[in-house]
Amino acid sequence: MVNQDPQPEVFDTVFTAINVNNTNILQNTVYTLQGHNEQFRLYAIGFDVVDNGDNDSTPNFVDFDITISAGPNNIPTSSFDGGFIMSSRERIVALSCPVLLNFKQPLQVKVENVSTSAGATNYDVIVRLIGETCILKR
Amino acid sequence: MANQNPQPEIYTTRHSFASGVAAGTQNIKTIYTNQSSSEEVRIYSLSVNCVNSGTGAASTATDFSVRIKIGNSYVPFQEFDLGVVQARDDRALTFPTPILVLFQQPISVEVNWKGGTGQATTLDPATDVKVSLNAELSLAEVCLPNGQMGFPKEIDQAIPRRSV
Repeated sequence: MVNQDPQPEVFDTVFTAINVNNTNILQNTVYTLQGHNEQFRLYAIGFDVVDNGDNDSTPNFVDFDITISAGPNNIPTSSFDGGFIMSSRERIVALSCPVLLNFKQPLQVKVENVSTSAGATNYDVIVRLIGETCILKR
Repeated sequence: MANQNPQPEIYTTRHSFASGVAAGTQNIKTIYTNQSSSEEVRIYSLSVNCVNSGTGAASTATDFSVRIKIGNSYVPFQEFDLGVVQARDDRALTFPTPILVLFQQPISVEVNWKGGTGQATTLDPATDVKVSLNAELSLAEVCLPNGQMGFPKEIDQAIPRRSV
């Protein structure tokens, strides 16, 4: 339930200890806790990777893919590269138009290590979802 | 088929180049947008991520170029450098106008190893080039003359026009 209309929202979801020695997929669910007359709009996605051991903020591993699911559907339709987001100075990519999330639709984020190479350590991957919750006006 | 209108899309292709390949080696990947006859895709920008295939780290080899083929036409017409995009702070190149992808038009992304200094150097290290197209999928809108409501029934009278 929003306290103002619209209300900015930042959801951080953390994927801990991704072993880069294996190709693996981790999935987290974000609950937006919106009312039935409210809608969440996802405008941008932030992506960061930190070393699980010493919290080094600049690990040298940039080969991850991201999938966003809004309710039952993947939006964008297919997984996309997270490496260019992490390599950019802002570490945020703005979507061309917002992802809409309606009542009772969970927001799921999947992170996949797609590299076939062997990394040296485990990493924590942080996906930041930046959007707004607003009251539907019809 | 879009689940919302418009729907954001990011299409990523991965182009693998083995270590030691000669300048001029090309790798082509195709993207199928799976759009319906009433939908169109607009590509607004391109991002690139050159990854060292052996370590998963950022690659030191970035002298690649790219050419984008929409259906049977190249848009933009010429190939352009990816290294300069990789060197940018935002790792992205925004097009002045969007690239239009219509029904049953596949997108081909052609990445070319240019050879580095002197354009005669073999590639080292092995590099995967990940190209991401930042796009949106939306229902196509057509412009008709005033009073023409029956498209496509009255297509012989109307002058449908697709605009960016």
